[in-house]
Amino acid sequence: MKFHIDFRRTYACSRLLTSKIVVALVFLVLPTIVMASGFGFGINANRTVQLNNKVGENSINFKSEVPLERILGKATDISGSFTINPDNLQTAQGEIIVAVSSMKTGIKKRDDHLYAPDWLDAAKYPVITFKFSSLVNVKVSSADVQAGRGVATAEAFGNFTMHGVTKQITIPITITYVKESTKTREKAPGDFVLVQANFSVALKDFNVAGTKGQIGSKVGEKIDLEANLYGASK
Amino acid sequence: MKRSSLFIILTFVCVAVLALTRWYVDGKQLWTKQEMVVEIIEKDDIFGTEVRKNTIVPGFWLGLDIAGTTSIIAILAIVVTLRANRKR
Repeated sequence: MKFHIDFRRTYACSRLLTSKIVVALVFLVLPTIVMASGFGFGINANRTVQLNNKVGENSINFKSEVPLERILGKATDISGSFTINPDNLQTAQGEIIVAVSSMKTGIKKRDDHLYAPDWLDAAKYPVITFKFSSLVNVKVSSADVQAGRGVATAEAFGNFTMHGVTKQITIPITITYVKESTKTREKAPGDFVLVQANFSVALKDFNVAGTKGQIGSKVGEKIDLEANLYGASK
Repeated sequence: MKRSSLFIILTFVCVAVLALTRWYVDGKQLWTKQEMVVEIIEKDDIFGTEVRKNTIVPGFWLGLDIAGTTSIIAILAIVVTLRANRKR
């Protein structure tokens, strides 16, 4: 008994199978990848989001910790805006501006030290800014299309400017997007966005020398920052 | 006067002198620290998430600048008093 193998037919079959696999990948896997960077609300358009205290109190908490001394504070004069496409979060970009004079620690004298030339020099550098140009590593944690609410984690990449020094940094953030509803309209019009971020900055990276001998003993070399930024789309 | 009582009085005098000096040098700052920052966690219903906020609340704050010195003096006074009592 002889076996005859038709190589031309086998080759044609394998090519057909390969093309089917490619088509399946394009139609099944690609949309999943695209959807993974957005909430799939069917908006797919850029929304300009303006920080708005009516949505929630915009604040940036800061914390310095050294043995025997813990300083807590917060900044409240925060402004800025960003564009965000809820169905394609990677393209988000914008700028957040914090007034140094709004940073408070609960002790006026310590606040005055904070604004002084040795530290943040509020007179010369009145604002701290973060201008981000894109989001990377976007992961959608949850997306409830019916409720119009989605949560995603990402890393905001951009320029952080403090004390006149600009550094490129990546800040891990959590974005919570809520589509406009009767409940949200009670506070403000538009879709709501909450951006939460936790990160640290090293004072020496921004040429903040401080009063001699105080960094490391009374004030931490790194300051932990926690941002809660609320905005509404226009 | 007992030796232990003398140390206690001495401690209070030292603390009082330090406090007054600081008050004079820093322009009455020492006893006017009427606020403190506390961490609170709020639940946000619209966003369905918890938000940690530092909130400034009224509160008395002993001047940090003298807190270390005050504690050292107090600890030394207690140690010396205990040793004096033991010797007796």
